[in-house]
Amino acid sequence: MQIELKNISYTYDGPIPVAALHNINLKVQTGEILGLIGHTGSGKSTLLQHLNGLLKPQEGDVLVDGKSVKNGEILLTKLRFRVGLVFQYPEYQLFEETIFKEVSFGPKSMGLKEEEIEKRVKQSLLDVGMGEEFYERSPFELSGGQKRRVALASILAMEPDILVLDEPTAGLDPRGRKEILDFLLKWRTDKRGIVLVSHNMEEMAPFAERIVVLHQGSIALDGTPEEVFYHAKELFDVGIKVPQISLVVNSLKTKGYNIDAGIFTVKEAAKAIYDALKDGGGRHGL
Amino acid sequence: MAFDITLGQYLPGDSFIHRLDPRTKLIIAVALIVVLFLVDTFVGYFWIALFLFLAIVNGNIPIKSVVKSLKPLTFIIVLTVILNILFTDGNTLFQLGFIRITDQGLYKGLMLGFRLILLILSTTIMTLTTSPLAITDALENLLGPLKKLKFPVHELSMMLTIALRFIPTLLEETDKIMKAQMARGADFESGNLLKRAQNMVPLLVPLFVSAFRRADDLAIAMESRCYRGGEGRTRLKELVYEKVDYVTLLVVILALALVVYLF
Repeated sequence: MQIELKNISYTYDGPIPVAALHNINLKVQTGEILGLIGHTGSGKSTLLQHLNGLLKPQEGDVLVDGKSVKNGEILLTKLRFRVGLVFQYPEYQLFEETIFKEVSFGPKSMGLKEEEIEKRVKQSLLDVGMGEEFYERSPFELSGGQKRRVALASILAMEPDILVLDEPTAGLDPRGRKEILDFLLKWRTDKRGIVLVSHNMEEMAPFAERIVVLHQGSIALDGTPEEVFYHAKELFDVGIKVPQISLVVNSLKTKGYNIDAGIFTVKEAAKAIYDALKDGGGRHGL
Repeated sequence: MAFDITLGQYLPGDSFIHRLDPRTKLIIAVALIVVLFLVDTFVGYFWIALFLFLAIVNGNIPIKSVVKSLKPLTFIIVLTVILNILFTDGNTLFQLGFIRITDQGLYKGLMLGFRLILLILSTTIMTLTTSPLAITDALENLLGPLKKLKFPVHELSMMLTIALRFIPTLLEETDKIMKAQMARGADFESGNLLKRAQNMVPLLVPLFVSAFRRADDLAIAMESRCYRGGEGRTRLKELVYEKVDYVTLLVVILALALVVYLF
């Protein structure tokens, strides 16, 4: 599955119109983990809502496997099942009496058969690490992290081809973050894709295969993490949190050391700095 | 945003009307409402309409906002006018089958129509030129004497302020939850009445849960800043009654009294 945003621009109406997106061209496809990074108000959420048809394109078009959303060649309700969108703080969308019912809401609205629903609910709850003992409990008595996992399962149960997540780790402790990210890595296959939104490069870098940086409604950078981190200084300047080590490597580069500026892990950096100093001829400062 | 409700429709400005003390505006609005019920001639309404028109011009209020405020009540106004025209006894002017229009009916219908429109305009002009906070302040101040009768004036105005403050927040929240549920295949638009009501459950439950959570958070935030009711509470912005307010109030009340007396 492939979703292509073509020349998308979007403006929110109101007493003071707010331009959220400006001429966005972006391809998202299965088999890929795409990281979408941007400061608050850079248009991330607006862009996400174009991917599953919650927002219809005002200008430009969205092509799903070549079919136009604007011309109604694809049903929006169908698209929403194929592109699972997990909003920020998804735990606030829970409403059912039991966790089992909560997770079956999505598959039910797809019109699936009873056995299929049951199978999917069990599988997706298992995927997020929640066993049978949770089925009949109320989602409202869970802890914050557990609630979020139930919300995630409720989207997974629709078995989307592409999973879009808006800041899935916001407000979680480090362990909760790791659990979610590890799960996503496991979930992704050649037939499934992930779009992950964050404002935190540090978290995204080891995870994403391709990173797109949004700034003021336009795409500022698009490439592999290495290519994007080459511009760590610029990213930092537009208010995106980059790994400390990237800033260190970048300033070494500008000081004239022979070092690759696209590094973002401490381990690689240590090696690169060591090599650079060795090449530098007799300077053993470390 | 899926909603376009202008409850807090305040348009900031710096006109004479904007600067008036909110209490003056509140009293004048109430006086206007009373006068509108006392006057029942077109000439009287003309003078009141002229007064309101001048206020609109002075307050620099766009005609669009004025029309918008009348829109939701169009149906009620039209219905009142038609019912009164059709069902009032008097000298027949025109008859078609069972439909009979009388001079009395026409007079009464149009009169009520004008009355309704002017009533709405009087309050709209106040809410368009006064911030909701200033209005609740004025209300608390004016109802002050009722405190002696153990009427919870401060609590009432605090509740109003909080309610006003949270309307935009809850609208935004509704929009967010609606979108989240639509992403899970919820359908808020089709089906018969019963089905639609059922479909609202995934929206209403999270909305109530979050409203209670917000209320709880707000209560804790207020308490940790030592809020303990109105007793001995001071204000950042004291309402100060100035000479211009006294003069305006006096002139307007006299003019309105004259209108009542003459027409």
